[in-house]
Amino acid sequence: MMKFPVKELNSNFCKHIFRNFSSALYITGDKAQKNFAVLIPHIDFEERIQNKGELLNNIKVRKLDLDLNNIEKTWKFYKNLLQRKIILDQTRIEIGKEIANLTSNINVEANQEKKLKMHARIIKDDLKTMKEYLYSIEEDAAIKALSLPNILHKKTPISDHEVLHQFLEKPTEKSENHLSIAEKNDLIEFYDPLYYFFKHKCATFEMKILDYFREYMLKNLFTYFSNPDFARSIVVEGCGGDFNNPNESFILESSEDTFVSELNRLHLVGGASLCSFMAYFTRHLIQIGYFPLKYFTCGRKYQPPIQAEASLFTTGQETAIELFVATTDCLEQEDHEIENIIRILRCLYDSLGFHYQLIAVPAHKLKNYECMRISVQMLSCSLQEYVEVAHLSVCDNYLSKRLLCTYIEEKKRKFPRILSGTILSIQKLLGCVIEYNSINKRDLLWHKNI
Amino acid sequence: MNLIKKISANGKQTIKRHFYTPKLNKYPDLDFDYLCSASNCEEILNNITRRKGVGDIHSVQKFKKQLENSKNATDHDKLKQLLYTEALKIPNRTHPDVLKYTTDINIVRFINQKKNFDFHPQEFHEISKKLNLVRTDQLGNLSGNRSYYVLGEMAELEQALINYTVNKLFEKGFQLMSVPDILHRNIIENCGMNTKGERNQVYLLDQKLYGPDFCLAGTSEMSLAGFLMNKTFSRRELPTKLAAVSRCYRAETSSTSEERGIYRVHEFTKVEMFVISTPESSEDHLEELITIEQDLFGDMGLYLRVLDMPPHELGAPAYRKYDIEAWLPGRKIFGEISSCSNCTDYQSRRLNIKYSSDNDLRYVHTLNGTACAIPRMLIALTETYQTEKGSIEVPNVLQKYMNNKMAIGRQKTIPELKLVKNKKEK
Repeated sequence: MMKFPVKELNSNFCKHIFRNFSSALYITGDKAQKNFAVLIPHIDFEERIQNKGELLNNIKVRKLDLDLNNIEKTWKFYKNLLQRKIILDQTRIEIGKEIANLTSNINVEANQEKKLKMHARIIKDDLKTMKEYLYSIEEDAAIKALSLPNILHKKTPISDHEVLHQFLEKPTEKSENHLSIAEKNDLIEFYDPLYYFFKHKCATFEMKILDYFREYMLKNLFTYFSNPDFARSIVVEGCGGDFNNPNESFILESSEDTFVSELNRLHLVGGASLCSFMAYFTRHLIQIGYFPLKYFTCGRKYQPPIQAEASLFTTGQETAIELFVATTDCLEQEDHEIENIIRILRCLYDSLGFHYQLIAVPAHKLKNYECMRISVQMLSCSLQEYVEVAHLSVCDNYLSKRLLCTYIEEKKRKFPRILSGTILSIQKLLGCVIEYNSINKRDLLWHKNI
Repeated sequence: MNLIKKISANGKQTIKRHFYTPKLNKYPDLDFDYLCSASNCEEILNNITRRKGVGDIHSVQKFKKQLENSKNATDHDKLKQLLYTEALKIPNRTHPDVLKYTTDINIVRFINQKKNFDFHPQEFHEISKKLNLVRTDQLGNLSGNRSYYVLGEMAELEQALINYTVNKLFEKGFQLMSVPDILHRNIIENCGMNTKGERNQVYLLDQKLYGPDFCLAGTSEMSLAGFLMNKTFSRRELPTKLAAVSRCYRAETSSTSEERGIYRVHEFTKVEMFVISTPESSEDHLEELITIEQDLFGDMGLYLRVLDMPPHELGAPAYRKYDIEAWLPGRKIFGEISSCSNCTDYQSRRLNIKYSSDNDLRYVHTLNGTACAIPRMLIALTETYQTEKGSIEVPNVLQKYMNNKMAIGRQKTIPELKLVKNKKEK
């Protein structure tokens, strides 16, 4: 492994990261003056807490550090205060009316009018005080409610992954690391997980395999999108991410010529990402006749690398084919699309002719927005470990509720079910293929379609 | 760069970052023989004036003399720094033919004929909106100002353009490379682009979070130059012709109506050509690059004009630069779709790219050219190939890259944009 110079933190950085940020997704009234509130997410806490058993179990099997009782308490307190505010508002209006009546009636005692005015003043003061702290309670309750994970899919395994399909036998022969092989053959120059170059056959492989997969998606009637690489903080948080965490997404320096608040930053996520597709459908009202939406894109995916490894499995810049499907809120339609995507994944990866497995990921490895994750894994012959080269995330309507992706059915607002996933992650696939081919003495551009 | 998350004893997150820092000499091997010769002073002064007026040759010569006479080590370091600060600002020399130009627009040639329309041709943004091919509306708060989505068959056309271009470049002996989009500031600065100050066009990663030096590449010219940095080639390896498809990020802003739609955007895909050659052959390679560009765009049936750019239009690294403009029938203007430049040894001296010749090490010449910049190409093709019925014909040479599709129509699988009202639920 190569060594990198290490740069330590500076104190500004700490200040920056540990500031008490609010939500970029849920902007309360007091913040709306400084921060444009793009939307108010649909929070389905009342509905979710009806099935408290499911929620408790969900949190437990996902191994999340969430205190549901505390969340419930905060929510109830907020709702209670909101109710009291409504009563106070109504009382103030009623008293106002009564005072107006009294002043038009000359026979009324002055004492009674004075009493009512005093009452009105007390209510006004109460309302003022309540308004001041209600915002912070509202924000606290909303953030906590939004931190709950998606409902688990009934097919999500609890403790260990479940193998759904396996293609060819698992190779047992150990290979050299893909980067050593690639560097020996003058195919890659790798300096760090963000700074590396594909040369010769590697660069051709990237282009050709993208073409092959892309053609297959088009044949399967998926519509091609070309997406922007930037997303605002609201979209990052809407997709279940922590927009303040510099390890989760690259945060760009605010440009000086535009007003950018801390809740409205630009993030470099890449067009081939869930964020980029969700940004398109944020606050969107989709006409029902368009469902199911079946889209895909080819492009970059950027994520700050987790490890300083010299490996194609942990790079910060990837080229990928990303998929986005939305169905109506109908389980059968969603299941049909899941099956279709699994069929596509199997056809594509069978055709490559390498061993791989298709697994359902256990609950504790899911992201909050996922209710199920199907993972296509190829073996790294050097590590003798499986590497995820593609996946499908079943998100139900968790994301569409947060980012208000909606449709109308029978005059009611509904939220589409979303399937998201990566059909191909070039860097990871390439790493595995280089290692397989070194054992089989096969050329990198072996495939008839590549 | 890398980030490692650690949880300290008090439960707070700390981050350690690892960087790959390009090893570049703080004091590159500039051509001081030329810069400091008294006989060249007038020529350099004239060049600076004719170009953008940046650089002060008198200061360079003054500091050089002072440096040569200094005996004190502290003075020596300080003077050296001053000398390089000034010397690095001096632009490249200008091709003598270009210096002769007295007008702003110097048309070298036209390619193809202007297409006649028997209807009123529309602009790109009108056509793309009608056919649901591009979305630019209501995205500022979601994916940034001036962001855009290219949809359906227009995205297929984008891909067809890339594949068509790369295949042509393969035929012309270019090697395809896949390059990084996040670069160290040093690489970008040494390519001759400013990354600091108010009017720079470079996006940075948050400096407090990731350190001060991480920029988004404005073009893969920078990434390819970074790849070649500190490398020495043998003479028989030259010319080396590289090509890359990459995302380009530019922080430039514009609000003029001339640049509505996707004409000037912050991010786009581009196929770039980069050539390193011997000094003797770089002028021929510039002609080769402009010929490739003319063929690429000319074969698509676009009406083009080639311009030899006057001195004041040249960036500091360029010795000579051609622009290609395509006629945009909807806007009724020529719009720049491509350019190519010969940077002679301006970049190679700063990035230390050499070749060995007869036991001697010399600096290569670098050249770059745009083989395909997507948004402008989409505009030019859409406006040129629009039909009276409202569809867009696919140029013959691109059809085989689009499953033999001959026309682009309205995208029926993508919903029209209709936004939900932002009301609080009761």
